[in-house]
Amino acid sequence: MPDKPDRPDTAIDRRTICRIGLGGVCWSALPPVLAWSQTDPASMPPQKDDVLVKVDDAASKPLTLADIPGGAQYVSAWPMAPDGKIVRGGTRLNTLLLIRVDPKTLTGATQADSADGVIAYSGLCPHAGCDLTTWIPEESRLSCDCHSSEFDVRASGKVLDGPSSRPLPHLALKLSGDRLVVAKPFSAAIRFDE
Amino acid sequence: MKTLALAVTLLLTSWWVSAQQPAAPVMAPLPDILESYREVTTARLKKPEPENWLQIRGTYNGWGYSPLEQITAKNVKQLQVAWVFSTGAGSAHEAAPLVNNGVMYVSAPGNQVIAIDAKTGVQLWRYRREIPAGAIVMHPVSRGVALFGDKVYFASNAAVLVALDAKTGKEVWTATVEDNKQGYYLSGAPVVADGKVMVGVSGGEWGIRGFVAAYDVETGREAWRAFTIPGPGEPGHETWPAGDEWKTGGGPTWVSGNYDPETNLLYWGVGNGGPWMGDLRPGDNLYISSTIAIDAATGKIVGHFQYDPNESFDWDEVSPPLLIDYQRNGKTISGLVNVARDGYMFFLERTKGPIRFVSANPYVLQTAFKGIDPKTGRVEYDPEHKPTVGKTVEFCPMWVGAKNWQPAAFNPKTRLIYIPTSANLCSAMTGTKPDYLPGKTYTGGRNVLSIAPGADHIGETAAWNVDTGKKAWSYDFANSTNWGGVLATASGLVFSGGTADRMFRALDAATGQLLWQAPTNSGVMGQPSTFAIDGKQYVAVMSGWGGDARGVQAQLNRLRPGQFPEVPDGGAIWVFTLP
Repeated sequence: MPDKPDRPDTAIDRRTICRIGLGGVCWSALPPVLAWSQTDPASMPPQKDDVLVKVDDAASKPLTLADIPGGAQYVSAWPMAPDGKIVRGGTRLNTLLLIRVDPKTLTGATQADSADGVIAYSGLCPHAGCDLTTWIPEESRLSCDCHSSEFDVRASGKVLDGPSSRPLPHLALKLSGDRLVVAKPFSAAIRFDE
Repeated sequence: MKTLALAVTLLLTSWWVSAQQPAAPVMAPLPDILESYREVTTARLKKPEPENWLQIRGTYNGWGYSPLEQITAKNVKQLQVAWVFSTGAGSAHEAAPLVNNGVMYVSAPGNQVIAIDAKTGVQLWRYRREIPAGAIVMHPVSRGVALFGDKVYFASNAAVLVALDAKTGKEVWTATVEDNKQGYYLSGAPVVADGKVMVGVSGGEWGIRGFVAAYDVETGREAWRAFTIPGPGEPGHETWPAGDEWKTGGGPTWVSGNYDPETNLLYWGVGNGGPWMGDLRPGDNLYISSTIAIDAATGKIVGHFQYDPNESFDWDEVSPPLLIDYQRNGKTISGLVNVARDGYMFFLERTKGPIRFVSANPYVLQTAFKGIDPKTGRVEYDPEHKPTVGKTVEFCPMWVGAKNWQPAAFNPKTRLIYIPTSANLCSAMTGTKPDYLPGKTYTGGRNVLSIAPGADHIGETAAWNVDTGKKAWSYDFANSTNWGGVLATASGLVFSGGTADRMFRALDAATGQLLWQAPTNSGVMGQPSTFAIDGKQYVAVMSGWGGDARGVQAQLNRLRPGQFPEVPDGGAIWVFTLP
């Protein structure tokens, strides 16, 4: 596995890396821009056996159970091809949120599709495509700042409030050793009501 | 015989060869109404004929007022549908149908512009521009197009300005306004003035640095770019922290500005700060939540008035002030009247440069301000009601404002300004500190809606006198918000929709009495316009519910289950006329 897989420009840019100061690493080491395309491997939807990497990890280290802390924290991630060569951050449609809860509290499809309590949800609200950034663990809610759609994390992303007409899609995970690996495609197409 | 065979062979060969050639495209003749298209000139934009509606608000002053008088308080009950045209799209339909000598030009969600025979409702041409998969378009709407010369200007969602041939709908030029992957997108109508086409940007929830950009009307070459957040060394930069906050500070410009041809100044509204919580960017943060005066010749910002210093409520003050000369203390003020999202109505004075404060008063319940300095107009916040990181704070009006972007209208005969408002809604906002990542939402606040204690209604169409600053009347909606732009006519009518009951209605301009209403397919979020063809007056409006209106409706339905049902989706253009 190469040390530095291809990461398209939409994953994160030079300014960000420098700004948030990841050990002084800047984006200059990264490859040129890749176009958005469904045939471009960086823009393909998550594939079975893909691993997951943090969006702001320039080293693109595959995530393990231990990397998902649980509680009030969540991890923003991209899928990455199993050979480690391509981070699928070429389209924001692949944005993932990894949340860890007690597996015994999960219901429905989320229970079967989690990996020891780690659930991978689409990071984009199905209403208007905003990034979901507010996680309220005590209420099991993922909330969208833009129009206040709220989703039940423990119950397959069921709509709890707000304008979204559809549940939040999730991605089935499995464990390969301690690595988090994609088991199945998204539970529903990533598209928006608006 | 051999000669005959040779001739037949040559003939067949010739036919075969010609059959293999690609057929020349068959050009359908232009309909007469387009063949005789009348170019839009500067003189016509400055003084449009009463029968035409050449800009989204009719005129540069933003009044939304028509001198047409055929449809009156006496006959408006007879209004009937002339035609309806389905756009084939969902989401909020917010454009104003423009009409130039019988041709209607209207934009719609789905990144489309449609030209229609305004008398018959027959489509003349339709332009669609594909939106790339994964494009950042939080509100995939369009608030209208602009007309000039023989062109139609359209701000397409994925941050590309398009000039179309008004006769054919074919692209003449395109200009990439900014990088959509960084969160910039377009939703406002362009404005044409001083030989340029101006456009503002959306993206205040994505960590952009807002601007208004101007392009040559003929070539699409960029003429200037006025940033709403001053860079280092520019006046106003000192109102930002010393770090990089100004680079991602928001200040979008997603509603068209109004324009004063006498001074060549554009008055453009600037939206919320980014991220939402003001304590993350200490300082006034010019020019967020302001009106800026931009010299159309140079792009230089020559004046400003900031409504909400260090804005922390998601209060985009993008709706531009109306250019109205009003009376104060026996004098006529060359004025600007802004019905702000923050719940106050601001009376300002326009000059050749600076914008001066005159007075301000709340037009709805407002709990965030302790008061306003009577000399400078600077607001004093109540710290108990100003959101910050790590706290839940209640304030009225709600985060999407007492009046969102939807324009008010002004009738110079009644001296009344007509305001669509969701007057009695409040918010509990919990502030958080988001991380900035390019192309990702950069907000940091969760809003929970509430209805103001003791309120007997939610929305209003309200009329205020610009000379006295007093409320004249209010038409209240007990169980609905109001998201409808307003049209005023010289015949004493006020047209608007905006409510969840799908109605489009006419009120008496002097009294607010309901004179006529008709249900449409969805909720009316468009800006009505009126025009005349062959001496007959028509009123047009787009129906189509979505965006913030859908979000607030869903929260209301949680507060009072069953009273705020989902509003049907899908858009259409409705045109009404007398029998």
